[in-house]
Amino acid sequence: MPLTRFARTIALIMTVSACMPEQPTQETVTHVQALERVERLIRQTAAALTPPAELELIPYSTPPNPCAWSEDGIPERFSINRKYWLRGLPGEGIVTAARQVHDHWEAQGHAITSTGGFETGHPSITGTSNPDGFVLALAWAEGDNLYLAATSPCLPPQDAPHP
Amino acid sequence: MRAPSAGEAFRRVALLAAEHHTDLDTPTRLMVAHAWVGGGAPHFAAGLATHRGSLQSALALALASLAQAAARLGAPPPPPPSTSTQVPTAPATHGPFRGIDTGAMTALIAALEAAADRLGTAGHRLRAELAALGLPLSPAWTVLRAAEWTAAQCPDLRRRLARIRGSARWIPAGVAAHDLFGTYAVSRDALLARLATGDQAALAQFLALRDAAVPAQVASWWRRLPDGVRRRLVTLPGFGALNGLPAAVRDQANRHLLATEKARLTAELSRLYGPGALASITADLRHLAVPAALLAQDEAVRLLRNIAMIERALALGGVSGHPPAYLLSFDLTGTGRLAVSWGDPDTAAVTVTYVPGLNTRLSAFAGDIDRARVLWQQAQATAGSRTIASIAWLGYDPPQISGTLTPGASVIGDAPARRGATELAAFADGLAAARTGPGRHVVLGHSYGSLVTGQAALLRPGRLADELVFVGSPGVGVDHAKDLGLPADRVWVGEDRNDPVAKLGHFGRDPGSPTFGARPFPVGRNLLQNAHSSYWDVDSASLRNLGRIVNEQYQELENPPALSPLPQLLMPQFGQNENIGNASH
Repeated sequence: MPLTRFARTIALIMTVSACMPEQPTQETVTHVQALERVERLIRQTAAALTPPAELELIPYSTPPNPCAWSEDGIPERFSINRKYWLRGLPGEGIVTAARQVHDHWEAQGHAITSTGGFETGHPSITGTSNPDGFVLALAWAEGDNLYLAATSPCLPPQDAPHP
Repeated sequence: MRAPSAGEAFRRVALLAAEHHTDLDTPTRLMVAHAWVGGGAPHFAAGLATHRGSLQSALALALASLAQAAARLGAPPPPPPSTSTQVPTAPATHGPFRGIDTGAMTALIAALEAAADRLGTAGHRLRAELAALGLPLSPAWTVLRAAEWTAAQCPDLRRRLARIRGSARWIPAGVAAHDLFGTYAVSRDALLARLATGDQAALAQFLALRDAAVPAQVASWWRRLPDGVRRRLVTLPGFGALNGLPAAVRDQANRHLLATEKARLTAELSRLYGPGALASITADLRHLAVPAALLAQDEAVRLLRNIAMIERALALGGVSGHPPAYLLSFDLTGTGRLAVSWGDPDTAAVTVTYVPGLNTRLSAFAGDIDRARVLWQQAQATAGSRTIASIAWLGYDPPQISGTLTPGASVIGDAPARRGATELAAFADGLAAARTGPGRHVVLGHSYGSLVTGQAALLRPGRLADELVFVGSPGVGVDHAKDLGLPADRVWVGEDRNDPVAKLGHFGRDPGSPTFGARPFPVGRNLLQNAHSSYWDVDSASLRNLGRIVNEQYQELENPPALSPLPQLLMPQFGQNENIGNASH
C-alpha cells in the first residue's frame, strides 16, 4: 500500500536540509579555541563551588565527535566535548553542589534548559552557554558521583590532529 | 449383590480421580512458568501435555463407565466429579538474558518422578476396579502409559541436569534448556558435524535458519569444540555471522574476513589498473576521499571504500578510554550487513541494541556506529561500575529513498520491516545464547527501525528485550504498548516535537499518543531538519535520558521545558548545536 505521506515527509526533511543557510551569526571557531572554551567553562564552574571541586578527566570524552556526515559516511563536522568527574565534594553535598552549579551558570548569563532528579538526590542539569551556544551539563552517576561536561557547537574539521 | 459394588466402586474411583487427576499439573506448570524453549523443550512439553490431557480424559471416562454400570443396576451414584484442570498457557514475562534455574529443573524432575510413582499406583488400582466389574480397561491402560512415559523421561533428564550443575560456568537459560532437553531436539547435529569440518555449504544452510532455538544450539556446540577445530572455523568465510557464537569469536572471524576481502579487492585493483594507480587509490582511501573519477564507478573501489569506512569507525575501539569494538556481523554484498558492539555484549550488565531506519546502508553506516558509541559513553558515564555494551545493528535491508522524490511514486510498506524483524529476533537470540552472565537487553528503534523492533517483539513475546525504546517512530505495527509482550511501563517513546516522522503513525497507532500506553520521555526540541536525527546529540538532555533508561534510572530523567511557540522552521535557535546532515533517517 503506498505510503506517500510518509515518503513526502522524508522528502520535506531532505529538501529543507538542502535549503537551510549556513549559520550566519557566529564566526567559526577552531577546535583549539573550542577546547579552550570547553575547559574554561568547566574549570570556572568547578572553581565556583564551595569548596572548589577537583576535576578528573573522563578519557572517552576526548576524541572529537562527528556531528555531520556526508551521504557516504564521511564525518564532515565535529563537536568538541569534555567530561570531568567532580571530586572532593563534601559528604552529603551532591544536591548542594548541583544547586551551586545551577546558580553559577545563571549568574554567568547561561541558559538552563532542563533539570531532573533533584527530588531523589540525583540531580542533572542541562544548559546552553551565552553567547556562543556551548552545551553545558551536570549529571549524577551511580555511586553518587557527579560529572560536569561542556560541548561545542558543530564545527568544521581541522587539519591538525585532535586536541 | 452387584449394585452396591458398582456404586461403591464408583465412589472409590471418584476418590482416586480426585487424588490423581492433577498428578501431571505440577510438571506442566513448571514448564510453562520457565518457558524453556531451547533444544527439544517444546517437544517434551508437547509430550507432557498429551499425557496430562489423556490422563484426565481417562479418569473421566472410567467414572462415566462406572456411573453407567451403577445406574443400570438401579443405584444411580452422584454425578462424577470434574477431572479436568486448567494450567496457564502464557509464560511469565521474563527477559532474554537470564540464567538457568537449576532449582526449577530439579523440581521438574522430582515432580515427574513423584507423578510416575503415583500414576503407576493409580493405574493398577483403576485396572482392578474396572476388571472386577467387567468394564473396558482402556482408561487404566492410558493412566499406566502416562506413568510409564513420565518415568522414562527421568533418568536422562537427571543425567543431563547433573552435567549442567557440574559445569562451573554461568549458562544462559536457552542454552541450558537445550542441554537439558537435548534428547528431544530436532536433530541438526549432523549439519553441525559437517560445519565443524569446514563445510561451507553446511554453514550456508545453518546461516539460513531462523528458529529461536538455533543460536542456543550453536552456543552449546561451540563450547564443546576442540581448540584446533575452532581455530580453523574462524577463518571460514561468513562464520562470524553465526548467531550464538561468543562476541569475541564473531569479531575475530569477521575481522579475518574483512582483511581477506581487503586483500582480494586490492589485488584485483592492482591487476586491473597497475600498482601505480593502486598506490594513488590507497592514498585517497586513507582519507576516505573518492578516488579518481575514472575508477569511482568500479565495484572494487566502492567495496574498498566501505571497508575503509568500517575500519575508521572501529578505530576508537580500545582507544582513549573506549571499550573494544566487536565486529559482530559483516557482509559487503547487497545493501550490506554490519553489527558493531562497543563493549562486550556477552559480559555487559546492560546491552543496548540500536536499530536504525530508512536509507541506512553500509556506506553511510558510520554515523550509526558513532551513535552507538556516544550512547555507550553516555550510559557508561552514569552507570557506575556496571558495564555497558552498545550495539549498532544494520542487519536488514531498510527501504531506500532517493533524494529526489516524486510524491506518489514511492512506496514504503512494512514488508522490509517484517523481514528485518526475523533477522533482529535471530540476532537477539544469538546475544542471549552467547551470554556468560545475567544481564539486561534494551532495544532502541529509530524511525523505520522502530517498526522492525516492534515486529521483532511480536516474534519473541517477552524474550526480545527487557525494555523497548522508540524514537522518531512512525508507528511500530501495534496499537498498544502491551501488545509488544512487555509490561507497558517498559516501553518508552521519545518524540522531538519538531520531528515530523514521529507524527505519522502510519504503521499502527502513533506510539507517542497517550492512548498507545507507552511511557514518554523528554527529548527536547530541535530545528525541523535536525529533529529526526538529534536524539544522540552529545550531552543533550535527550541522549542523557536514553542513558537513564538504559540504566533503569527512571527517577532521574530530565525534563526540558516547553520552548517558545514561535515558528522554528526558518529561525535558527540561538545557541543550539548545529547538526546538519544525516547519517540515516
